[in-house]
Amino acid sequence: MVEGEIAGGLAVRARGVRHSYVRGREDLRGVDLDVAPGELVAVIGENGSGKTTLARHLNALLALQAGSLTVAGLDTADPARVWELRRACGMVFQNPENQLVSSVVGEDVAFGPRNFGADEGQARAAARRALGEVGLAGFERRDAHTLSGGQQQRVALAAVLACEPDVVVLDEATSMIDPRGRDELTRAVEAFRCERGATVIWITHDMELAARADRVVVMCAGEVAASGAPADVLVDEALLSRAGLEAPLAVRTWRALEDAGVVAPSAPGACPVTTEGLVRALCG
Amino acid sequence: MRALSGYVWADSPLHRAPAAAKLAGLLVCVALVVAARGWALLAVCAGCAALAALSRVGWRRALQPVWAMRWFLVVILAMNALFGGGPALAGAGTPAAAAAQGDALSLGPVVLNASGAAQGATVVVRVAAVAVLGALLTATTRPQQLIDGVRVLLAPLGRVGLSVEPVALAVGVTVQFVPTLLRESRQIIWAQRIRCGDVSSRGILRRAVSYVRLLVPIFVSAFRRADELSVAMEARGYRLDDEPRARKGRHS
Repeated sequence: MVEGEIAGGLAVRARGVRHSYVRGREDLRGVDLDVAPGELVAVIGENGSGKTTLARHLNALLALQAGSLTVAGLDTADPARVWELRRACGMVFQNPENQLVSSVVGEDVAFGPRNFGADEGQARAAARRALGEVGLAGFERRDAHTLSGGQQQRVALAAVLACEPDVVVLDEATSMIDPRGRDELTRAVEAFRCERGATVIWITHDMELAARADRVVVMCAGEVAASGAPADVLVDEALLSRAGLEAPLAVRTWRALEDAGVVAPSAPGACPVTTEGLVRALCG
Repeated sequence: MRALSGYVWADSPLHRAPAAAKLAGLLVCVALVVAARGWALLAVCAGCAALAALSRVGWRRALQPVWAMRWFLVVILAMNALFGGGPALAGAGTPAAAAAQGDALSLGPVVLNASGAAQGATVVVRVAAVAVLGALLTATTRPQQLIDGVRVLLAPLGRVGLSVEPVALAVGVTVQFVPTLLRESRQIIWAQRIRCGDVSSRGILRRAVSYVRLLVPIFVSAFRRADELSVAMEARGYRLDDEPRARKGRHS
């Protein structure tokens, strides 16, 4: 992790984080969140539930209005350490095209390292290494505009990885790309997470993706409505319905099979949340 | 589309030349193109062709922007041929007046003016030459080099208080954002066609009004994209000042 001491051994520690874009309406209403180093946390919730606002606070893109937030041991309210924080916590945004600073892939990926003080050679080496990590080795000279959405999003991920972050926040990074692109990005995230042991906070509407996380955080109306293992949270249909979400396909299929009497009603925690889990449960 | 931003990987004297020198050379060449007339203009055009050959980016790439604005050039030529070329004579449009003014062709109310056509051709050649020079610059200069080049050229102005960094970055980002905005413009045109019919099948006035209507969503989209890009850049450590970057980074 970074040079600083990590508060309580946590990669992210949020206490009572509040935010209002306009007077009289709270977009974050006292968010408490702890994320352990190396953990993959999926943050889910309907549009307007405060997911993106929280993500922007993690990178100090928004000024903290109330509460406290520490990311990778750095206080997001400390203006003197904001650039250190942005190096330690990288962000991948929703639209891959709107993150491209340069039309040349290698130049785009080297942009972050240059800003954080790397010289030309170091920036290029970091870009080459990061592109290799996301499966785009040899793409340095390619025109970013000719790449597929999935490839562009992997370039965006490489741009973040080139800065060697401890925490990576993906803000609905798969919502504008096709299923193949989503799979490519998911594999790339898994690969670098295994290799570097980085913490990943994945904000998503994709319940199948959330089902593969270590932990799921459900946001509802600017608050954390629930937090727990996917097997506990994603089977709570009342909670998901209240948060404007629906259970993963595996859970819905399992419930339908239970209702049809094909399978016996499952004990708490036994309902499969992933397709693989469903197949295992059905085929033994 | 890519003509406006696409760097062509090649090894040529133009590729190897410093970006600041190329930018300064572009300004000088544009001034020459604007000032030259007649044979001098043709000589400048020959110089542009020589630069295109020297750049090794290919004729197709060098002439791509000219092809992209071919209809605009045709309109310039036609407008000059029809309405340019000296003061209108009394009874203009009549065969006698046309003959008196040295018109090349008179077809009823449409009178093509020879001197106007020559003037139009000059304007077209100038615009095309500038477009080719711009294409050669972007095809032989990577965006980061372009930003650095602008930074070097504007450095003297930094001493009198101009903030150089934002201007340099704005140039680079603008160049690389052009393809995205062009594609978005086309999508908006398609959306308008689906809902309002094909604008190109209407009269000139209605077509012009339809294109003006496109400006609002295109501007909204451009501002939204610019906002998202600025947030993404900030998240990657970019800051709007001329101070030396952080030297305590992990890469140092």
